[in-house]
Order: sequence, then C-alpha cells, then structure tokens
Amino acid sequence: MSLERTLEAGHRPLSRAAGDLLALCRRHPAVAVSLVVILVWVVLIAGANIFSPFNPLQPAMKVRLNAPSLEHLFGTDQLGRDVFTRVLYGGRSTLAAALAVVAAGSLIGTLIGAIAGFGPRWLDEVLMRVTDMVLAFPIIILAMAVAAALGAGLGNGVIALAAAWWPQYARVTRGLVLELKSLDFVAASRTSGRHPAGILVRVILPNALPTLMVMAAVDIGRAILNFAMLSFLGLGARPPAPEWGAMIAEGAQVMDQWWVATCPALAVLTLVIAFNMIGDGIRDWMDPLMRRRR
Amino acid sequence: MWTFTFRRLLLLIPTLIGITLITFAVTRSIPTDPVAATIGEQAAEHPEIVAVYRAKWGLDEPLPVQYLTYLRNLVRGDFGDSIYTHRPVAADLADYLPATIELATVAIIISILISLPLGVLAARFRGGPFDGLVRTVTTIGVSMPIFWLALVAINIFYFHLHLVPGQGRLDSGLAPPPTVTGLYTIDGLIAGDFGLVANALYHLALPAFVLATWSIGLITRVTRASMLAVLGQDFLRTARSKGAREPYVLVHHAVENAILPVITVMGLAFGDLLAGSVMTETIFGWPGIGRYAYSAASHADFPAVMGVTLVVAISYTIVNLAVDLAYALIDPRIRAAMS
Repeated sequence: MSLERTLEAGHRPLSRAAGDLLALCRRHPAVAVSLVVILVWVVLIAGANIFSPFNPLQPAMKVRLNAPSLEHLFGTDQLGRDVFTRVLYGGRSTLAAALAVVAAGSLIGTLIGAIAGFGPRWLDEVLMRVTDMVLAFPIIILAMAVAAALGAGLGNGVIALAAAWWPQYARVTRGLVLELKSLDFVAASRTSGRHPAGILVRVILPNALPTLMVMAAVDIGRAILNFAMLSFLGLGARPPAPEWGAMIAEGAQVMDQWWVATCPALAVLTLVIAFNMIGDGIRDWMDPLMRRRR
Repeated sequence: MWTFTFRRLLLLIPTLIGITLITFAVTRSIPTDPVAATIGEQAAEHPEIVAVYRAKWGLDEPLPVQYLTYLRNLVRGDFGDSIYTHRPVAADLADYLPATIELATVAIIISILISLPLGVLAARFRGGPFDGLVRTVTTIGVSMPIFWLALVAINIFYFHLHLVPGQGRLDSGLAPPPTVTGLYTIDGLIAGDFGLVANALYHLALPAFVLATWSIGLITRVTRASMLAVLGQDFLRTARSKGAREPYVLVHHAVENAILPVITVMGLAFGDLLAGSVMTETIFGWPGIGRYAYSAASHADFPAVMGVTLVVAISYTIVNLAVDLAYALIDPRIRAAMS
C-alpha cells in the first residue's frame, strides 16, 4: 500500500507549480503582463459594485450618449447608462459563462476521453467516432444550432457552446491515458489488485490532470470570444442584461458614439490577448526544442 | 494517388452520415414543441398541416426510422421549409451559398498572400523588430472580436472616408451577370464584362479583409513556427555551402519542407471563415448563408438554421478532404504510406 501511495504522488506539489509559474514569467515577461491584465479585470469585475456608483440597468435619459469623461470613464449608452459600469457587470456574465463553458466542456471531454482510452476497444471506437462527428462542425456553427433549438438565454448559450467544446479534451485525454496506461507504475498498481476504475481515477487521471488544467486555463480566452459572438448574434445573454457581446450589438446602432461598442470590445480583446499570450508562453516553455534555440 | 483519392472519398460517406446524425440529434433536442418549432407557431395551430408534417418526417415512427426518413429527405434535397421566408430551405441556400463561397475564397486568398511572406520573413529574422511586430499584430488578429472590427471598418471606410461601396455584391444599378457559377467575379469574366468584375471586387474588398483577420493571424503564426523548426536543419546549411543564394534556399528548401502544417491550418482556417461569415455578412449586409443564418436564428426559423449548419459542416468536411489530398500530392512519403 505504501508503495502505491508513493507512486500515486505523481502530481506535483503546489510549491513546485508556483516555482514553474515564476520561472515562466521570468523567461516570458509577456506572460507576467498578461497575468496582471487578467488579475486587474477579475478584481474590477468582482468588485463592480465597489468601483462604480451607477446602476448597470437603470436608464438615465438626461445623460444619453455622453462621451467619456471623468464622471463616466467609458461614456454613456443610448439609455444614459454608464458604459464602464455595464462593462464591469457585463464581465460577470461573460466571464462566468466562459468559465462554465470550459469547465463543462473539459469535464465532459475528459470523461469521454478517459473512458475511450481505458475501456474496451469497441467502446474506444464508438466514442472516438462520435468525437469526430462533432469535430466536423465549426464550433460557433454547432453552438448556434443548439442555441436555436434550446432558445436564447445565458444558460442555454453555455450549454450550446459546451456541446461543441468537449471533443478537443476527449482527444487529448484519450492520448494521455493511452500513454500513461503503458507506464510501469500503472502496471504496478494493476498487479497490486486494484479495481480498473480505481486505477483510472486514482492513478492515471491525476497524472493527466496538469496537462488538462493548463489546456483549460488557456482555453478561457477562446471561450470568452465565442460566447461574446453567440451573444452578439442574440443567442446568448439577452439585453438589457449587460454582457459584452450583447453590449457590442447594442453599440452597433450608434457607431459614431464609438465608446458604446468599443469599450466592451476592448474588454474582450485585452482578455483574449492575455490568455493567448499565456498559452504561447506555456507552449514555448513545454517545447524543449524551442527553448534550446532561444 | 488514385487509390488514395478513392479511399479518402469513401471515408467521406461515414463522415457525412455522422454529420447528419448530429444534426438529427439537435433537431430532436428541442425542449418545447418540436413540431411548432419546425413549422412555426401559426402553422402548428392547424391540425391538418401538423398531420401532413408528421407523416412526411415519420414522427410517429420509432427514432431509427425517423432518422432514416430524415436522411432520405435530405438526400432528395429536401431540408424542410423556412418558417420566415416560406420557401424551401434548399432553394434559399442555393441562392445564398455562392455569395458566401465567393467571399470566403477571396478572404482565404488574401490570407495566404499576406500570411506566407509574413511568416517566412518573421522566422528568417527571428527575434528582430520585424518578428516582434508580426508576432504582436498576429496575436491581436487571432484574439479580435471581428464583429466589432467589422463595425469599426464600416464606420471609418464607408461613413467617414466614403472609400468603399455600400451593402450588397454589386452597385444597385448593376444587374448580375448570367449565372454560371453564381460567383459574380467568375461569371463576369465568362461574360467578358470587366467593369462588372471590378465592381464585384470593389464590393468584396472590405468584408473579405475583415473576414481574413483571424486567418491571417492563424496562418502567419503557424508558418512562422513551422519555418523555425526547419530553419535550423542541416540540409539548409548544405544548400548554402553549395553556393545557393539565400532567397533560393529560403523558398525552395525551407518553405517546401515547412508547408505541410501550414496547409493543415489553412483547412482549419476555412472553418473559421465559414463561422466568421455569420458575423461579417450580417454586418456588411452581404447576401450569403451567414446573414441568412443570423436572420434565421433571430426569427426562430429552426429549419433554416439547421440547413445552414448542415451545409457548413459538409463544406468544412470537403475542404478538409482537399487538405488531405493536397498533403498526399505534396509529400510522396504520405502517398506511399497510404496506398
């Protein structure tokens, strides 16, 4: 039992992960900047009610379409609502939706990939063919179809995107499980008489987890972009609820008052760039060939 | 090569069946009254219309039979009727698809013309200011909410600078050329009407550039990465030591060996283009299937949405097939392994 314990401790201690992150930031300053950008947005969004005295929903017709000023940092929209406030509150919907999409997508994908990689051959075949079928659709198109079937709304938008999101995780997890399955410590665990399901859950998956978590973390940017798209098309969050994609759609009516659409768009852009930069940094970091050549 | 092509074409059949299985599953996942969703609330109030509909799609049969009925109707080109336009969805799609194909094709041509030189040069001068600029711009490109970029582009180039024409594929006074392919540029060339071709290109320019934003970013980044992997290799040193000039080494030795991943990502980028067309076409008033999909989605026109979904997935699959074939055509090793 004690042997197995040691073998199971394949997952890295937290301090080690923090050290890795620090080294990554030192090598790629862009990653550090990106982390700061994300942190600033998260703090602003989480503390929306602290950072802004305005109500995101209450119209104020006297101050319609005011340009950015000290009082209204990002100006006001057609109904006189403060755009800065709406961007912060909107971030709650967009960010929560993006996190939910990635969480649901990675969970479903990991489950399917793990079963495919660890289960019998025929099940692997069936699951991977289904994965390929879903992969035949561009994500936003399939999400659009599912959202149209379910009806518009924040929750349905998340379900629709998650339904198109999981296949990449299924593929990666399956690959990882197949690779780990052939390693000695898994064989050791098997000879010690463990139930196969126990081996999968307690021995294999913990070792696949770091890779999957990095993949999911970097994926949040793409989820933000896709959810904003779905909302822009009227299939995600619905107005008057503040949400970045829906706000850009509202701002489209008044492009001469550029701030109404541009501020939420820049929120999307900066966050997505930050997540992509971190992804690039990690990819560089994990590729020993690239590291040597730098 | 022929056996390979034939085998790959055969593989298309299970893929297409898979696609229809997914769309079938989506149509059956409507939580409310699926019949009302597919024929419209008004029609659903007439029992006789509902009965005809149920019989046509075999809705009283078990699910597998329903699927076969669904497949049979699709093969016949029957995608159902649009609730909003009151026309067969297939007829709508046939009208709008050429506009999208033309826009996406021009966008991918623009992307390739810009991305390949950018990626190659960025890799060649890695670490320099040009490389830095390319990396920054392409990172912004792949992160861009292009629906906002489209709005900004229209506002600047149309409303303020008057540099680009308004909505549509041609100026409003012009009649489209006689239909051969449905692509106005090609049909105009066939008809020998160069003024019309120029006008069609004029209308294509801005939407195509906006649509190409993502793919330019994506293809440049992959080209750069793929070139970096090749540039350090010995055969380039050999070529140089034999006295080959640098541009020749770069194009004939390096690019030829770095191109395979680039072609793969072009196939993927085409999927992005089809998806991006929903946004771009809607904003530019481009009469393609993207705008059709948007209007269908906002009018709860379910059969039309599913029709677009199906057509996009099939086009995407065909493009990926073409990518596989291009692979085999370029790399003799793959050809040998597959046949």
